[in-house]
Amino acid sequence: MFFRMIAVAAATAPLPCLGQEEPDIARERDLQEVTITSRSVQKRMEEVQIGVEKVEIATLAKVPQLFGEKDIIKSLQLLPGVKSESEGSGGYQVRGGTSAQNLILLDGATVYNAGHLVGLFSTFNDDALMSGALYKGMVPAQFGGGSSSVFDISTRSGDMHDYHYGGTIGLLSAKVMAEGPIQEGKSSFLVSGRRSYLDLFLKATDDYKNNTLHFYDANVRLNFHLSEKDVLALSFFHGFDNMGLEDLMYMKWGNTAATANWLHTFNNQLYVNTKLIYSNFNSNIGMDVMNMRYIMDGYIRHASLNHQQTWMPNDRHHVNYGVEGTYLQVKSAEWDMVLLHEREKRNALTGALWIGDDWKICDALELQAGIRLHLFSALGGAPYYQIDADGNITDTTNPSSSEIVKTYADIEPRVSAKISLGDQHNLKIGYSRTSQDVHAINNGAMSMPFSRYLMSSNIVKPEQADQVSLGWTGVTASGDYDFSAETYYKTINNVYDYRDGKTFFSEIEVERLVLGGKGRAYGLELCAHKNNGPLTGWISYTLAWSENKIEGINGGSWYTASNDRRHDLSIVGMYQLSPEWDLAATWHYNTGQALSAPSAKYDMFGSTFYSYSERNGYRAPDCHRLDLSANYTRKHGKATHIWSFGVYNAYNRYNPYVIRFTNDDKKASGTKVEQTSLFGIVPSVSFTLKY
Amino acid sequence: MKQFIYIIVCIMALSACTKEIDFDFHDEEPMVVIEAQVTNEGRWVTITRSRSVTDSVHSRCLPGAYITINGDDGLTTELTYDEATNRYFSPVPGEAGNTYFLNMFFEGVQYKASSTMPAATPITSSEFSWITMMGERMLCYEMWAIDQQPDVRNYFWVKMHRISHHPHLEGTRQTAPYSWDLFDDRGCPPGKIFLDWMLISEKNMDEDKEENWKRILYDGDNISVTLMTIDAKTYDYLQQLGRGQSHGANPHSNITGGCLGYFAAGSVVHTDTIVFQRNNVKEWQK
Repeated sequence: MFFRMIAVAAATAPLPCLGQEEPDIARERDLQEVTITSRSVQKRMEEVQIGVEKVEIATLAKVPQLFGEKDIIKSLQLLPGVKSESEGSGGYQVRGGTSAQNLILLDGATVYNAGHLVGLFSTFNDDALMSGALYKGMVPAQFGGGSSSVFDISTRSGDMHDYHYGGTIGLLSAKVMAEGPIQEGKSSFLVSGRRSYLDLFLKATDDYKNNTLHFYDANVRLNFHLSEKDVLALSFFHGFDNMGLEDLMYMKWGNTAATANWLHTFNNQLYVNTKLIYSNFNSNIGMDVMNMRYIMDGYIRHASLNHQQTWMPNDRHHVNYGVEGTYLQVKSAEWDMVLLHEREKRNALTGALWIGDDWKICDALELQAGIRLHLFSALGGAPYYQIDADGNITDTTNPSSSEIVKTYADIEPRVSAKISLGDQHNLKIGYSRTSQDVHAINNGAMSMPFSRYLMSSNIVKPEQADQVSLGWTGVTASGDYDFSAETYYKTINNVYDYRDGKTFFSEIEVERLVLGGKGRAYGLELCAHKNNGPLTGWISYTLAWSENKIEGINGGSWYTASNDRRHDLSIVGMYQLSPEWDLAATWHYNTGQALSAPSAKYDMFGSTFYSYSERNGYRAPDCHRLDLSANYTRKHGKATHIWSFGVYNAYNRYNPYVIRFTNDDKKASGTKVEQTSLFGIVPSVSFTLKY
Repeated sequence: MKQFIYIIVCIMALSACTKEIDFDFHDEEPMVVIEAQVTNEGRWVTITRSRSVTDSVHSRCLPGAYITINGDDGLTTELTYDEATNRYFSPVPGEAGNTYFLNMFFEGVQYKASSTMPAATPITSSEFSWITMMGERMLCYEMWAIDQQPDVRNYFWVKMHRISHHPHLEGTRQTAPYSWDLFDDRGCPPGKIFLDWMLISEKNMDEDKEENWKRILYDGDNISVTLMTIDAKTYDYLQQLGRGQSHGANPHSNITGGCLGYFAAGSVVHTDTIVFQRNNVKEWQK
């Protein structure tokens, strides 16, 4: 399926001068159809893989979102097994993992911290997107790098025949898009851009007029049909955030990704895809107040060559095999602390070999099986350490840049089987092992752009997850409704977190700051779809547990993970009222997030402190929220205009964002508990014009 | 920096709100809490017990413990309970460079710890000043001191004490430091250390809301600052203590035996006590 999507990403627009009998193009059309309708009931029933979700951009446009900004990441959070980090957050957690354990690929390039304004908005402009596939269960063998999930996003190709333009003005941002042929029928372009204008609001205030608060992103995609058998796709993405408090503090971060993708078709049975990929995530924060001048920046850079072939010897086998090599650079931090300058930067080589087969054994049994050899070699050119139990360096070596310091090699088997029980029911079972070499270390439960990152090294091991899952899918005879249930059990080894009391600037040597441990997660996911008629939508429910065990935390015993939430329920309804009006509503409920609250208090140096006997032993209050949207679409000749109205949190429920405990001797209760909520009711409106 | 992000988020989220909620706390068996210090001003220990989260009555030091502190200079001192000062005390000062060992028996349990005493850091200057940030003037406190050990990383625990006779603070318990902080000397100019400390905005001082009374410095308040040079383990403990209050984790005590608290050997210096007068505070100059 992945390879099909790559093919679609490379060339989705129909070619002129080529009839339907042209096999390659017929396949491309077929692939295009597969992607666009992949959330249809038929496609869900046909899917062999367990634990895969497809995001349809057309559906995304209808679902109400915060500030009216269409957000592919937040739309994921309405799916079973996927949770938001917190209200309004762009971070998502899959099956008990953290957001840092999700691999996000944009046309094959890795994107980190895929959120603008600390996650309030998605990094991805929906105008440029074609589709997204989230692999939360069985991950195809061609993917590696995310221990919890892989979200594979493809950008859209420009129209090869006609020019189209569009623009949207919303409350907080505006975006424009243009696409069309470069050489009709042979090549096309698509350009889109978005910029927020929050800084204009700030300039209108006396208190905040000298502050900076904006983001922008840009996507460019060029497609060239070099010959009947060759398609070259070039895609480029750049997203950037800039926040600043006068000239006192600033925070900037962004992603740059570029992919050159060459698809060559040998014949109907064999095609080859070769990608050259570069991605760069960088963050830069600083403060200059009085004598305090602190600057810290870091980056993660990937340069990859990926070659894969798809061979379909007959209609029972669909074999994908390939090889990938990546030169990886991680600058965990480079900082200036007044007069001190320190830097930690390391390089590594990663490699992968894989083979996978979609094997239709018989009508009742299909198998998708693969195996991936994952290699990671930490390179010299930077100091490497031996560290004692307290985090102190006991030995330092300085290997040369050509020296391999440590190599890890892992075999990652992945298998999923579908057993059809007649036309309307099937069972699926799957097992997947995944690993991750770049570890994000977050202070707190939410991911932030200034998280410290570290690579596997002589001390830090690759994070490795094993997951088994079992599922059932059923559909009514008419196809109007379909239902699914999946259960999973997952273990993750080599999970790293900050030592107590340490924070990102405690030491430049990030390995001194962390402790390793393991996690486990298990749960049940239920989903029901209504597929036909003016009212469509789905209900998804997740019952989940997530636990961690890290020496030095909670006495070394298992404890509830901070992202543990027992129940999550989402109801999504979309109603086509008339050809002009479509309405949508989502209601989301989740039980409270795991929370560490004090269980006693004590006095030292005249102050009162809280004692915490249980890590995450309490629950925050439940959250629920209703969001509404309405779109009015009118066509005037070649022009289409769309008014989009939305109400986020329609009944103004104040859901917990932060809960704070404060000692208060004047109160009879002795402690004041305050809940801060981010959003009450938030209305939105936007206007889109397309030609 | 997290506060910075929090401010940004709050600017955006015009509809954000904070409200007080009910919360059902779990009960925990009271634990022994030990606070012990050896400084150049003597040796003292307090022993208390933790109490319920909903208990607003502060603990007093518990009698009945046998406590000795000996140093690697061979001197052993027994601390005696002093009800008047609410602690166990010995006037024998510690000396920089020595490692001290706490040995204590209380209710049949032995508690032990050690800590090494770093050299003192003489304060050369300190003053309040105003700095303008985001259109608001902030009251700051700047301190400079001499780094006695410029070749190693040194750790500091600074506490500002305020005794106020302002009517708003009448009858309130003023044993807690007005503010405390931790810092190290990374990046400081050679031979010097400095501390720049943001205290409160002028706007909050002007508004004089009850929720801010504990944070507001009033004219006539007596202010003194204590700078204590501490070892890395004490610094880690206090870091964990401060961060754990918002991250839900107890700090790892350096005292064995199963208790809350710490044992620190440190060198203390004090500023002169000044009488705070807001009109005398000048604009900060680089």
